Amino acid sequence: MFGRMSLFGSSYSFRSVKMYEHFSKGLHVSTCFKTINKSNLENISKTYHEDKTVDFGFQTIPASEKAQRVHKVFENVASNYDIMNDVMSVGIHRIWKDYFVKKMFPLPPGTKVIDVAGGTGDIAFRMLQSIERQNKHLNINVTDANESRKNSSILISDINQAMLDVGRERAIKMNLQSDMLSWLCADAQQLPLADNSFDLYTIAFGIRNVTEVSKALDEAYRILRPGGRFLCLEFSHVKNPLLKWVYDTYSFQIIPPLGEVVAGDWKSYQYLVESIRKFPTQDRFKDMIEEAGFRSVKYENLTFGVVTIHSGYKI
Amino acid sequence: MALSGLTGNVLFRWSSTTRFQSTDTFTDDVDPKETQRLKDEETVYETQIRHKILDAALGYVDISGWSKQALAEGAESIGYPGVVHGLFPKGGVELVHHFYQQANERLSSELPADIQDAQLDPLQGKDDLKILRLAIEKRLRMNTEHVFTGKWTEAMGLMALPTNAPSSLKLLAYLVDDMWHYAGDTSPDFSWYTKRAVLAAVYKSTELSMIQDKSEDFRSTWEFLDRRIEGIGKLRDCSRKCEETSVIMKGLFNTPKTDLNTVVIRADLQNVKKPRQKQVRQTGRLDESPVQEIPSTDWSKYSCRMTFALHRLKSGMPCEEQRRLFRLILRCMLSVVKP
Amino acid sequence: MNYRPIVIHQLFRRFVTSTKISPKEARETIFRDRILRVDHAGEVGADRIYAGQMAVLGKTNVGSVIQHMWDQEKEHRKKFDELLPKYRVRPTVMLPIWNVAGFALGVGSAVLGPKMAMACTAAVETVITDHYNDQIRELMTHPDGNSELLKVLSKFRDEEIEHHDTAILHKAEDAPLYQVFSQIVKIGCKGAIWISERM
Repeated sequence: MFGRMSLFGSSYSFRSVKMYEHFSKGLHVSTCFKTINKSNLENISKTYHEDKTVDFGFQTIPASEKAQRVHKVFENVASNYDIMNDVMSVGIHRIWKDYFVKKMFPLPPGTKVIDVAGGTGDIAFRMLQSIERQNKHLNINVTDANESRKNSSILISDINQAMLDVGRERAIKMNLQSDMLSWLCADAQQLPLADNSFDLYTIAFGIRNVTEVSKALDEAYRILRPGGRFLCLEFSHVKNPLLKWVYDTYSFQIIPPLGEVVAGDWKSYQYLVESIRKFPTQDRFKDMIEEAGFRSVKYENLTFGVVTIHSGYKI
Repeated sequence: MALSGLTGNVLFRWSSTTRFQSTDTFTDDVDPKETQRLKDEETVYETQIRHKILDAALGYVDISGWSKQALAEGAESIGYPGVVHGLFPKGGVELVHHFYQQANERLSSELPADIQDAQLDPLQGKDDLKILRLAIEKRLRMNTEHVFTGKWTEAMGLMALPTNAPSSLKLLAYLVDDMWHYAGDTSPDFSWYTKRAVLAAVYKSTELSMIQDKSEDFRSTWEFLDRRIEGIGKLRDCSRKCEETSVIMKGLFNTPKTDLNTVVIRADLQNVKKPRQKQVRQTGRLDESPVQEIPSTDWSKYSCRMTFALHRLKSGMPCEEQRRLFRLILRCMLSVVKP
Repeated sequence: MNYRPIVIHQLFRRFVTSTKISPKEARETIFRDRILRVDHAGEVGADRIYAGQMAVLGKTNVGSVIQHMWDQEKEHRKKFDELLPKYRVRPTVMLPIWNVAGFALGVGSAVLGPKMAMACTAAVETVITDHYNDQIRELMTHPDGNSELLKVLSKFRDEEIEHHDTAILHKAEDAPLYQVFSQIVKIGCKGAIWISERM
């Protein structure tokens, strides 16, 4: 339900670049590189033109400020993120995520997946469990020695270190320390990864918080292989007027107070709810995905349009 | 495999420069024909990719069945990542439909030559059942590979699912339409539908017989097919006889004002007048009760004439003659009851 | 024999795609099929209407007029009976219904008198003429491969106009409740056309 932020101009050390290159060739990197600090945040303003403005919920702010403010929002919500998800969606977000993960299966062995803005690992962990279940069901024995039947790999990427930390703790708690998982701190608009290196790019409830959505889509296009799939789960617009009224009332009258009660932060949840309204409609977002170069773009509404899955292919 | 992947890469990079995007439609100065042409190119391009993947996936059906698994394996064999199976949201049934469609197209292209080889003539209309039998056998033989592996049963089951049934029925409809077309059918009336419905029933039942057939080269299936084709022939004869009967029955209640030529059977009906005139001459009065006038021994004579008259009725008669005929019939009927 | 490849197009979701025919050709084929199907249904209906009218009014003084119009409709129907198998078009499923309904309309209008029969003819011919005009206009936007059909439709349209004028000449407008009756018949015809295009 809550998105991730994106940052521009994060600087990377030579060592970090090397490690990412190795990753894209199939080796696994299980350390996370902390690249976000105050100096980097200041660099962002230099990449934007002074006049450019973006939406921050219902406010309009200079583009250079958005990254910092969104970063702050997620720093605040990270610790209570999962509890708030359950409380606000009354557990329905689990069904959405399960359905989202079901859509991408069966995943053949050796599939390289990147879950962008997947900090706390909801989608990645579900994928991991489904892969293990699928391999057992299909009697696929995957060993590293056998080059033709390599195991799938999931790279969890998020711009916010706090969210990634929460994710790692959850992985330990759920006993999911598999060598299929990797973690990466990176900006979705500028992923430090090679071209044509992934088969599946997923982003769940994250693209809304990216400063420039089209840049994130271009990056997705770049790092996917020909034939690769782009899958996005995001809040969207309800068309039915009566349901829209119910949804709006719930979003604006109930969620921020709940945020105050459970997490002690009204404003962050106010921002989150407003940012849903400012996100493009299903058709407009479909057009944006097509503009990035994807084909066969389709969308599917879940729960009358509260949440939508967009899917496109790099063919 | 890598080469095909590379070709695919080059193809989509080249075409991406000219590709149509739906955001292009909404400006006033864009020519709608150009927009449509670009949309069509997109459709054709996507269809070609889908067909490439489906064709490759057909090779994995005997291992993985008609499933997304086969689609993923097929895609991987031509250089695409396995996740591209998402292009086929309905999964295995799209593979079945693709196979069915390909077989239909193969039938369309090869059947004319086979008809010529068998020296059958579709234009005369006499050989249509023979052509149908040839066509059905040819089409069913295209499924034998999957029948042997046992996968055709799975395919038929998938096609019969409620969500897939409309598309499957459409494919079957196109198949039987093609078969009747090559058999020389030119009917422009409701028999267009009855013919195709009957052929679809024959085809499906033969297909069902085939998947249970263990005989050499499916011999009992072809015998079953022969019996069904014979059945179509009998159905046609029956309908022809019904038509003739209906014409006779229709003549009985023909309205006086018709467009058709009227034929007056005066010679026959002269004899009908005779008993009444005879009665008048003999008794000096007209007794209206018809029963006594016709002796029961004359029943056969009148019944022959009546049958002949009924046959001639299809050319229509004026009112007066019809009334006389009615009286004749009535008399005959009553003579049976009251001798 | 015209061995045309199968025409199925992705425009309609339930259709399976074929690479042997382009989307443009598929669209044009579907468009032409609709035209032929509805025109065939229309001529069958007209044939039966006149048959019904002749059944009642055949021996009266308007009989010969109706007979002449009927002969022309029979020619039209014969032409469409030839065109349908030539272009491999499916006839409408409603044929048995139009058969009966047309005859009933013919008999029903003729029983009310020769003027009502003429009024019925005038109303039906007005709808058919407008319909042919619409089709000709649409066909002229795709002239490739449709020249024969255009010629046929133009000729038939002219003959239908002639029927309409004949009906008016024979005092169709003097029929009682002409406007009401005419409107009812027109609405019925338009509904029949709409159904036949789709089914």
